[in-house]
Amino acid sequence: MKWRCPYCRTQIEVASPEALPHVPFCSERCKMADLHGWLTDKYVVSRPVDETDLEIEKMPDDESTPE
Amino acid sequence: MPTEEVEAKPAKSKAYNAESIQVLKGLEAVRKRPDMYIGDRHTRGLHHLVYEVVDNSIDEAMAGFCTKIEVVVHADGSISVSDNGRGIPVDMHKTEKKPAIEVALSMLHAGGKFDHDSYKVSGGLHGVGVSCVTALAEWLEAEVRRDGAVWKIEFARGKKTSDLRQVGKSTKTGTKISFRADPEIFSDTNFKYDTLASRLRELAYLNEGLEISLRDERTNPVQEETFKAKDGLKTFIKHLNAGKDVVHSDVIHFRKEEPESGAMVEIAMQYNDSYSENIPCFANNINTIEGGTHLSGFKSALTRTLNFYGKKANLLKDANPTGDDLREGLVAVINVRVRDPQFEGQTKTKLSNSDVGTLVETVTNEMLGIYLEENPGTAKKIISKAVQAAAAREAARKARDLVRRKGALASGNLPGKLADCSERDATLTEIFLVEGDSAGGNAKQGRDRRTQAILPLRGKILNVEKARIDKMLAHQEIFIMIQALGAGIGSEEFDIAKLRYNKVIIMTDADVDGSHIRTLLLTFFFRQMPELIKQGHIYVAQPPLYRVRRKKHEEFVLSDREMKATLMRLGLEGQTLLIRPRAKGEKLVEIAGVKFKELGDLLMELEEMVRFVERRGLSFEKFLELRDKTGALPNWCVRTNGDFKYVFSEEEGFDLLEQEARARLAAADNKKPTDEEVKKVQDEMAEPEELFDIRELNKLITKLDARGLSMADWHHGPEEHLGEKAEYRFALAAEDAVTEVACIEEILPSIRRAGQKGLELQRYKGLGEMNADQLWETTMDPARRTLKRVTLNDLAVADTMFTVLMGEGVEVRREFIERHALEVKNLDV
Repeated sequence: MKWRCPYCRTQIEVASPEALPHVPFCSERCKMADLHGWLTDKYVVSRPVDETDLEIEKMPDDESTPE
Repeated sequence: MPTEEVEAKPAKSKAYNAESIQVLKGLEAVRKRPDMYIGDRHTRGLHHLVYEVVDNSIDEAMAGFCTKIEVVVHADGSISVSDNGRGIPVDMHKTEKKPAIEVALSMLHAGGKFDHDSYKVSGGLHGVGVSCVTALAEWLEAEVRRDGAVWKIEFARGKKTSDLRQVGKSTKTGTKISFRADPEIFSDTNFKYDTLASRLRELAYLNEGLEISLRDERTNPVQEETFKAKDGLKTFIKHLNAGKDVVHSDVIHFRKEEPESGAMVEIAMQYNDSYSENIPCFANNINTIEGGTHLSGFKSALTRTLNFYGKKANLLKDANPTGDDLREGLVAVINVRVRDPQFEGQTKTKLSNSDVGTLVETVTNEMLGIYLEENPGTAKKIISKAVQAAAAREAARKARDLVRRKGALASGNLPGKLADCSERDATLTEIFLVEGDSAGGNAKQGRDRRTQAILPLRGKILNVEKARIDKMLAHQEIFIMIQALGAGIGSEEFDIAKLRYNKVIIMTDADVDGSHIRTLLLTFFFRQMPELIKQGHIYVAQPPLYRVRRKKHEEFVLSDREMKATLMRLGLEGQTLLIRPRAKGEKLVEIAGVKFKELGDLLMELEEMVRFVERRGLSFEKFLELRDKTGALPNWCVRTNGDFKYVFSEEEGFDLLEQEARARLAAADNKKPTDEEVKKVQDEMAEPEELFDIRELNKLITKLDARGLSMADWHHGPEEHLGEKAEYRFALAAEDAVTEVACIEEILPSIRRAGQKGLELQRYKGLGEMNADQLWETTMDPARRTLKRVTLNDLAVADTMFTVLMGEGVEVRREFIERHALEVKNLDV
């Protein structure tokens, strides 16, 4: 299968990502460079604000909640 | 690219005759100690026999006399190599008093290559010569076409069995050597097609224009290939980069010759997007696996020239790329030809001529410099790849330093936030990584202190803008987690044997933020501690979403889907569905028991599909109006300007696209567009798309129809039923009551309402809403909880998710999530 190194995005041909000596990276360098990202607050997930932020909770059938 | 073409000058070469063959040493002892001459008695040595013979022909080609070489593996495993060169000389050798060909074939270190006048440069296996093949062959015969005649001489196991004799006439020239490897010498005399093919292909690349064919007559059908590289090394590079993403499309290629010494340097190179470098190098056609002066000359020139250009063109910024950075992803072939190649090293495949190093370095500096000046676009791509490589190397170095410095990361100091367990046997313990405001506290109270440790983690909200929320796990949290796990971090320091817990359980809220923190944690484990996942140490806790109470009975429900199923189960108990007659002759239909349950399942399927359909922006009611005479729904769609339009076939879809294209052109004041123009606009639009879910939906509708539910009754407003006979189409009849149901759309909600009767339902918005006891009961108690073990496969998905979630493009993210929501019903990893 084709696998992209999560750090440098290089495409690698491997039987499975597990077979890589530095799973899931192409190299020790990329593994450590990625670690650097974790240890220096580089990784942020962001998402659009959605309705859950507005505290609207729905019942399965948007019927009133029985007591 | 300026290149100097090599021009063969046969006219100036001295005559190739018996005088050219010098005798250096007699052929002896080869059979006794074959390893000394051909490396070994196995595969490598065996194939060397063929290369040795081929090299003789290549010498002819390099001198400009031969254009074609044919290698045949015969059915009996013997080999013949023929060329259209001048033919090995057959006249008498002056000092040896034997025909020159006999000298060449039977005396060690004899051959034209030791006389620079015949061959300026020559390959061959370190000058041992074809005579070692004679020595190690069960039989060998040579056929020479030269001076109008055909000559033949034969040997067996190094001894001449038949003198050189004329066997015929011919106007052609060339040499054909056939032999069979001696099974007394070789453990295996079976030539491998792929091994031969790969070397012959290489030789064809190295000798531009030379045609080399290989035929294997052992197989049926005969396996056959012809190698001829029109563009020599450029073709070689394309072959090496096949299937890879290249950084620049152009193959850089240069070649220079020093006429006085006969030395030649040819280099071709191209970068691909990978991390590794691949620089095969050759000296006189010999694959110099151990490198040597030509390789080091090239490397130092490459580093110097690229850095010089990068600085000058202001592409380096603050980066300081090293030679390794500059060679990342480089695929290059170096081919040199020199008069007296000197080899050293373990396998005698390291070139040691220092003047060659200097020559390669000078040529590369000059030619690569010119190339970069002339191709700034390519130059920029190459340099920026190296700059990225340098940045990655720098980041990796810092991480290594950090890991080393923070020795505390490995073990010993436990973080203050950790509520550890008392059990010391790591095979019995578990740690909960808990995210959520008050969840950590509850988990600490609710846990089994002996075996369960709690580490509260907090996702950090960075900035909340109008439209997006950024969240991360601050590095302090990561440090604490690494400390608590105790196994260290990094390629050198990580040691799974030191892991302090058998199960690492991620416990986050069942909402979007919880899922994001989970994604972050899983991605971290996947990338930095994959061994934990491989050995099955990582789990995800499954806290319930609902608490359901009915009379004294209490149960917890994990998901919305399960909740719906629970309500259905309860709602169907003791109920009968009535379908009332509408037209004359129809009868009242009653559905109950197992049949009702089956129908309920079908209706749940329908509900799910309706959700899909409505996500495309059309209410199901409106969508049903699109049905054709047979009642089928359109299962193709065309997207134009963000709208979905439904059609029944691909053809119809294309028609629709054409209309739309014409409409667009008309809007752009092109009233009478040509077919070409229409097609052009049409090509820019998305092609019709088959909607597989609708195909399923059509099947489902047929099934429902067979059970008495027609889509005509999907939706009815109350006004349709309050006529004279104020009776709905459907009703749910139970022992104590009849509930009227207006339409199909209302059946499931009515059932669920019935199921909800007498139920006390609580939805947990987060772990913090459960008290310590509830958390223990539902999520932490090993006897009652559900845990999901994380596999590497889950993680590959999480990593992709993560990459998308991290990405800058809001649009890409939205599309990804929507697409997956449509394709996979449960996105939850």
